[in-house]
Amino acid sequence: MAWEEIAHTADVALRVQAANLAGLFEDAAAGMVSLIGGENSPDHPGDQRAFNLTAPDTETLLVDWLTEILVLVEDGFYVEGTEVTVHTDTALEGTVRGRWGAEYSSHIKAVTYNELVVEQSEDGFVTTIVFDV
Amino acid sequence: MIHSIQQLDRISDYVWQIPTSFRKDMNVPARIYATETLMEKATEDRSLEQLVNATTLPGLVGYALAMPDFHQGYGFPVGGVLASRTADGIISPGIVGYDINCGVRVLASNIPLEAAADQIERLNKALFRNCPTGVGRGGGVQLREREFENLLHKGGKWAVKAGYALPQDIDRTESSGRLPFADVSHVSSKAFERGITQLGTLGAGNHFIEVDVIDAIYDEEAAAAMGLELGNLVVQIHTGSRGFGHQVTTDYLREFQSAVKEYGIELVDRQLVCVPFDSSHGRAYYGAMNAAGNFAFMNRQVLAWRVRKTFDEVLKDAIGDTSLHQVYDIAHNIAKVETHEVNGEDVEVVVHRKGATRAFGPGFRELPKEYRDIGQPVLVPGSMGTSSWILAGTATSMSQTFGSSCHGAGRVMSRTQAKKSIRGGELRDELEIQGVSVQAGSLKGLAEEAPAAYKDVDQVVETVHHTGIARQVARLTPVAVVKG
Repeated sequence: MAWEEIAHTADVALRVQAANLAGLFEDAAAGMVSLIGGENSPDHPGDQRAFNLTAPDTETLLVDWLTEILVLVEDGFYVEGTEVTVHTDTALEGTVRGRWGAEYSSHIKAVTYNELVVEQSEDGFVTTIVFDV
Repeated sequence: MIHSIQQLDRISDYVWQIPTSFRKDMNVPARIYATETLMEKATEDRSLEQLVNATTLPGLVGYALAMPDFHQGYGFPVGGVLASRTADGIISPGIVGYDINCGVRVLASNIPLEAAADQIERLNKALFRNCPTGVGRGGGVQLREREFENLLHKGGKWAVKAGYALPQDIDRTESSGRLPFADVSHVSSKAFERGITQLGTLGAGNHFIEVDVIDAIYDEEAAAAMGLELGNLVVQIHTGSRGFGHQVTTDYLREFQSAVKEYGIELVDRQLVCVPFDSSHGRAYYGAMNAAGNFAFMNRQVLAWRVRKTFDEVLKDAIGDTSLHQVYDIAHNIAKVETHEVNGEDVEVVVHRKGATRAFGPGFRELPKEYRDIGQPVLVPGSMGTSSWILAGTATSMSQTFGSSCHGAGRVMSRTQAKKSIRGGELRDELEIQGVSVQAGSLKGLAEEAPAAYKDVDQVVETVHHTGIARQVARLTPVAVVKG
């Protein structure tokens, strides 16, 4: 698992690590969706949504990407997976796959900028994201 | 950083200080209101560091303050209060947070608990059925775009005209349920779309509706003015601006990441992003934030309307008088322009209250006449199985805390730890043995909000009472809880 939940008094934090930037965005989405939990019947039809996003910096791009997914969740979309292609460190194409008609067990209100830094190392990319819940 | 209370200056039994000499970039000192026990707990997370970080912002006056329920948040601690001059200071969407005007409303009944005791379970099930909960958009009042805009601008006036509010509800709401500088032209279409389907919905997380019994009265005069009688039922509604507010903050946090550089403001943490209040950016955010604030007031108003209908539906035949009069409605997350005395002079400031409430004292002109002699009601919800409190604002709060007080118990245990150590089903059984009926959208969510995850609300109230920034009026004990 390329993400882990970090203890936070009031909110929820995720530490995400991946070999490349696209993987970091996909794993961050997977971690966030896992925190939300939820259920969906396989009888509901599958669907997908595509996003082309650009941002002034990588951290904002990450916030934008995860926020788009949160809005889908609010609309009742059950996220089964994502694919991300990174064009530059400030532009991506992302696809979110899943089904409509989800019931969620937890709520994430927003993706914060709390000490948000996407860092590059020899092993790839790492970041810690705090979510407002 | 601060790991021990020995590193703090102790001003009195309940007041602690971090001087500007603590860190070179501090512009004002920080003050914390807490018992020694609460203070020791606070050194275990990063709340003090977050409070110190906020003191580095420009244009601040007085102290960066922490109320006794404070704990680590994002950017700024929950339970924090920060005042900045309107003339040359800042406004920060990151400090106000995403759930703009998350707040609490209390409605009081004339129903003694014993008269309704055998109906509480049925009442709670009906509240859960009639008051939409959960993550999504379902169950909100259907509004046309024009009417939604009207609501965002007019707040309480819209609700009275639309039949969701009694005139007294509005008199007994902070700012009369209408933040006057709301400007929908500064709200994105995405925020508008997220909000228009969510009016009158509770949401999830720490939002709740709770039925309580008044089990102690500490100030007979104030309790009488608020219509609180020992042994009677009251209802608390805790929610905010839902997806509308979340999107407004998300939009402005993003935009201001670039704007802040134009103003030459250096940030210790990007979540503290801010702009000068007296700027086009500042005015735009203030207009949008006030629109979200009005939405939150109206969200609680429509939920109050649903709660009243539910009381009628379940109790009218058996009890007769099921009326619920509003005690008050206050914001927890907001920035407001107010005038406060600083170093002997009246100064217009933007008071940021993040997980803190306004607690204005007697004589405040906005208060309805029945509250002018006793001060503004301050509503302090507990944590499902514990007491909640109704307090009153004081003159001391005006001189010490920019007219602010605590907003609740304040978390002490992480959600991760709560989920590991507490099972939602067992917690529900324990609460029911204790006499608290529980309806919850999610047992996992219930576990995260367990009483053990919160500080001792009685110690929080003891602190504000003994420092004089609010005084005890009545204590509530829960009998039924609806969790989102």
